[in-house]
Amino acid sequence: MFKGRYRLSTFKSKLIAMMLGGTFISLFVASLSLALVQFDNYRKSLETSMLSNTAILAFNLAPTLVFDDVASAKQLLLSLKTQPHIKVAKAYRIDEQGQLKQMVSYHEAEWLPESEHEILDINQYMQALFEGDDFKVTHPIKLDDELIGYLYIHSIFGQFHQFQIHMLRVGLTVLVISLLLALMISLKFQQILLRPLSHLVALTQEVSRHKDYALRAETGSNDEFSHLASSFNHMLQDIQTHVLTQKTTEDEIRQLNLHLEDKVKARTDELEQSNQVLRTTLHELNESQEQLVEKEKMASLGGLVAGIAHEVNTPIGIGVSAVSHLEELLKQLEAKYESKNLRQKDLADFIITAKEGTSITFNNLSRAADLVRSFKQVVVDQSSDNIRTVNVKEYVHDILMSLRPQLKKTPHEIDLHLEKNLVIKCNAGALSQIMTNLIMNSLIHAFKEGDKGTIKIEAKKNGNQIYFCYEDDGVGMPINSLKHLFEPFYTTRRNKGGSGLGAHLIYNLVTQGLHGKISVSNKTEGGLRFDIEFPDLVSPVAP
Amino acid sequence: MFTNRTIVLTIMPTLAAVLLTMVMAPQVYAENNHDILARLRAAFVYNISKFVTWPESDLVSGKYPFKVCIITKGNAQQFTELQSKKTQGRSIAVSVFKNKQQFTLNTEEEGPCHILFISNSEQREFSQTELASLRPATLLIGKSRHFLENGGMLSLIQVKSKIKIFINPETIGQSQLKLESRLRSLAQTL
Repeated sequence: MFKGRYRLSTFKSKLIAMMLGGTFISLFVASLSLALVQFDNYRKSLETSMLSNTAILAFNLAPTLVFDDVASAKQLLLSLKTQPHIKVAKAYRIDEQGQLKQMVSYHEAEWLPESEHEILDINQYMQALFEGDDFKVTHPIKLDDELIGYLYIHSIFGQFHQFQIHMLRVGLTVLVISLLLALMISLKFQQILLRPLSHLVALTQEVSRHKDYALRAETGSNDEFSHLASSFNHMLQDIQTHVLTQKTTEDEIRQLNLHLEDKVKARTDELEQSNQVLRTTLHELNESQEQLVEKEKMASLGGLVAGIAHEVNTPIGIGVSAVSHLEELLKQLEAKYESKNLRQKDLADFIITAKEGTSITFNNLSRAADLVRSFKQVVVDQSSDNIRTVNVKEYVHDILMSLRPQLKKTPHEIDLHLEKNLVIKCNAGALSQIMTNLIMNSLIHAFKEGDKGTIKIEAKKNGNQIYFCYEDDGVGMPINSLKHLFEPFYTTRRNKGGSGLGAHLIYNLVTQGLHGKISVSNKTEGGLRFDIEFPDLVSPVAP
Repeated sequence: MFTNRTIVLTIMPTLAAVLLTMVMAPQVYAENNHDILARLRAAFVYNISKFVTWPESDLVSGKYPFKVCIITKGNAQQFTELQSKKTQGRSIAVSVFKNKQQFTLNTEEEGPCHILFISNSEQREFSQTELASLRPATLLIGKSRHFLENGGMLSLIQVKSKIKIFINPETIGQSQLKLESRLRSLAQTL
């Protein structure tokens, strides 16, 4: 079963089946059509012949009817013996009353007449009736265009059936012979047709087996197989070229691979050296950065010192002036006393002036002492990593005091929201530097000249965490710049003295000095907001 | 046609009746038989006219009626009844003559007849030459073998109870008339 299916599935089998099928269908249709046409023609021929004979007989019967010559009429009907297919013939005449009367009849000797032949309705077979082999017809008998009677004839065409069988036999014989011829022709032609295909199949197997792409198919003829072979050859040519290119490329890759390790090693060494250089450079950069940060710290501290020195200089100067004035007055009083010109009024004036001078001197010195104390604490804290307990409110006041020289030159206000008894333990120096730098940044960058700004500082404690919120209502920063604010050396005032380390220093102090975190954002109403969060070191940091 | 054929077709029972009458009353039978045979012959003449072709002349043109001439001294009423009929598409004119002289005068004035039926008694008035002169264009019908032998072309002879058609092929061949083979096959030759 499988073998049979396999054999039918081959191109050869399909070709033969197609040819045989086509031949069979064509012949069958042609034979059937021809047979039908033949049957019809034969039937029409018989019918025409019968109608013609009937008409002749009716014509000849006319005088026998009018001259009432029954013997002659019988003689005429007996002539039908020569046509054995005519089984019954009857001549009727119309009498003077118009009634139809049978005049003579004829029956074939071997054929028993049928009672039905007593015709009641002569018009029944006026149109010839051909049913199977039976043919019945009635023909009018006329004389000088006057109807004088009828001739009825009933024939049985046995040869019609024989003709059908004969046609069937001939058709079947022709069909079988034609199919055999078609089979022989298709077997011969399939060999001729499939030879180039077989060669092509063999070639593909050869190419597949030996990978020899230099082989080529024959392209002798100019048929579709030749075109297929030509296309196949083109494909082989492409494959051959591709394989050659691939082989060349593989060789090159192989050669390259041979040198690749050396190259990789050389490049690795170069990279190693470069990495070393980079590491050194990075180390140097870090050191430079630390130095710069330290310098920034120192610069900040220096500025602070310069400010404080200037601030302290004023009360001390006033004190010095007051003391100098007192010294002058004292010298004048002494001279008057030694010259015995000292009057009571002079002494009284001196005493009043001395009190005022002393008071001025005391006040200014006390102020200088306060400044120095505050400055001392801030400077000490900033110059060391001393962890100590501070009262946040007082400490922020000290920081603001230390910044007084800068702040008093501006119209800006500091708005403090600090809990009164908020005492924390932290790296106070880092905190003071953070605050100092934030305030200085706001003074330098946030406010335009002539504006009156507000700096808001808020501090609170939640659990073990300290939250500082520093805000100004200045110009803020573009969002792109804000992203890089804490990066080292990032400044928008490169050509105006900015080092780009101020914000980075704040970041370092928060993350490393306070072990906290800092974030910055633009306020919707304008200005910057710094949120600083760091642990209170009084108690252990909650996990 | 129907009437004439009716005449023919009714002959059979009529003849039977006549035969019976002959036994019962010979005188009456003679009169009736004569009339029946006359009617039968008139019908035969009429039907024979349909199987004969006349030569190309005024006789076959449509402007003249089909002329049937009867020469008899007896009653020719059965023949004159044919005037109400048509044959070969033409109306029939029947002329009855008592003797040859009347007939001759008439034909000289009005031209020949298509058919000339001559009774037995009047046959003797015509010589063979005279009949021969009539043959080319006139179908000569008589009632006896003698008429055929004397130059006639057809005779309607009583054989037993029927009228039979007898022909003289020689005289027919000498004429310009053509009898259809259908009629020839029925007729008996002299």
